[in-house]
Amino acid sequence: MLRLKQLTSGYGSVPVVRDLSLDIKAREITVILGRNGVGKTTLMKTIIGVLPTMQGSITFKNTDVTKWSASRRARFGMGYVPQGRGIFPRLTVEENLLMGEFINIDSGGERLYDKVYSIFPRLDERRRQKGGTLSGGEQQMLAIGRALVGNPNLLILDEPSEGVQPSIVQDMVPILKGLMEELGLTILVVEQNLDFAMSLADRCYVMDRGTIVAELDKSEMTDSERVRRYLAI
Amino acid sequence: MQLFGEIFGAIYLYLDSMAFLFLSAVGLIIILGMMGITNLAHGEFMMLGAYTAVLATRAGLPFPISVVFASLMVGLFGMVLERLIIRRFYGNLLQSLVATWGISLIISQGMLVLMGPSLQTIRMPLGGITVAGKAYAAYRLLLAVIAIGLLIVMWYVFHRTKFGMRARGAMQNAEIAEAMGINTSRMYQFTFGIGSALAGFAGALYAPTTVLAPLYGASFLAPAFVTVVVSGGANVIQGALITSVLLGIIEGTSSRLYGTFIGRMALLAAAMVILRVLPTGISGYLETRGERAR
Ligand SMILES: Nc1ncnc2c1ncn2[C@@H]1O[C@H](COP(=O)(O)OP(=O)(O)OP(=O)(O)O)[C@@H](O)[C@H]1O
Ligand SMILES: [Mg+2]
Repeated sequence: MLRLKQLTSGYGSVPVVRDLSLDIKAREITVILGRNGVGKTTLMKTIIGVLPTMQGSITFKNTDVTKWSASRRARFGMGYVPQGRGIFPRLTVEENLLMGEFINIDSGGERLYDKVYSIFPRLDERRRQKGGTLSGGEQQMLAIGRALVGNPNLLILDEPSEGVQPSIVQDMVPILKGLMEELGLTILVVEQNLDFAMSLADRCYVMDRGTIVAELDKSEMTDSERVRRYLAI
Repeated sequence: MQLFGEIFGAIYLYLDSMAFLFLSAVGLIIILGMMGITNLAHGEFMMLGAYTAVLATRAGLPFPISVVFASLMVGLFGMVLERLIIRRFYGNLLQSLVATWGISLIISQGMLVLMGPSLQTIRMPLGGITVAGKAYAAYRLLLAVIAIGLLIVMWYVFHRTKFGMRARGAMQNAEIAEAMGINTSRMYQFTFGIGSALAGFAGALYAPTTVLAPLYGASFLAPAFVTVVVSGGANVIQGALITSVLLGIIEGTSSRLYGTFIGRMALLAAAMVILRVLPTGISGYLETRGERAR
């Protein structure tokens, strides 16, 4: 679904992500774990295209998208839920969702407003409210919903548990798994929250200093002692 | 009857002031709100609009058609400039100021070489009307009506169309808008074109009210600039409206009492006081107050 080959990117001329290769398989939830500042967000922004690739290549749906603009990648099927949620504060909930309508527009598939409102009834109740007035958890729902309305092929989430109360984080696990099953979605998540990551992941990688340093198999994922050791590299 | 005349005279003066501030500033505010760029060539864009309208009218086009033609030409000119020059300076306030200032110099000097030091203007359309024994220019009343009409159109475009929604989204967070599949680069070019066309529109409309000279752009820019700075870039349409009404009242009152020069000075003084109290401008203030109220 998504193949990163020897990817290098960063800010100005300083590389943050270095020589990173990774294969994201379709209809799986892939989690990348990494501590603060290892370059997780930089990697996500490079994948969606708001940061240019310095070296290497990005292949999405068997198409080389390395040189594509972010908007073109979004229209081709990438849905993005940014760190800090990136809600448009002065647009209403309804308008925030409408902003996602171009995602995967190339495929000409139907837009999933009704589905989003039925998954997140709280958004339905707050349709006319300004995005900036929602709580952290509600904003997270809105950010996920906004990326979903276009029925993307790949959903990318950057630390979705950050700043969200634990009960809502717990609710997100079955919702994301259900979406993967039902819509045939491929999901890529970067996280620092170990328990959340473990309950979500089909496949799990560890990132450190701008590159992937380990892949964890199923047994290692449940052995959280070893995971913690990886994260303390 | 005497009282009615007084009231009508005051309304005429205030409307005239407000209409000019709004019409001359609205394009500048849209560009500032969208791209964070203060277009110092805005006055020259107005001047280009005025010249185009005058020359087109002299060439035989009816004046209203000339105004539309001038707006389109200046809008197109703005889109080309955006593609060639302006887009290189997004996100860099200082460089963008220098770049647009450079453009303003090139336009005004270029026009000086091409067209000479001044241009004979055209007669003000519509003639005069007499109210309570005093004569007023009907055209200036029409300008006020046009300003109100434009305000309504802009409000509709920004708040009731999908294009407007996407534009507001891109103003609030361009990176996320881009990640949602919105081609912000094209949107910027288009918005810069609209802002330029509005400058051309304002310049063309006011062409019959003044003597035209290539170096006149600066005097067009000054009041527009003050309005924009006081308004701020947060909430463009409401900001432009409230600011031009407020500054129009201040300018109108002081020029009625002490003449136009003092009126301009009062405008500047008021701007400084307002910015001292509300550093993010009137629209910025409304924005934060609105959010706190909830
Ligand atoms: N806009 C920027 N300009 C320059 N350097 C940046 C920028 N954003 C991040 N960095 C640097 O890049 C490095 C990686 O940052 P990044 O945000 O990708 O880390 P992260 O893994 O997402 O961290 P966190 O867990 O805090 O979200 C950091 O050293 C940071 O200082
Ligand atoms: Mg991050």
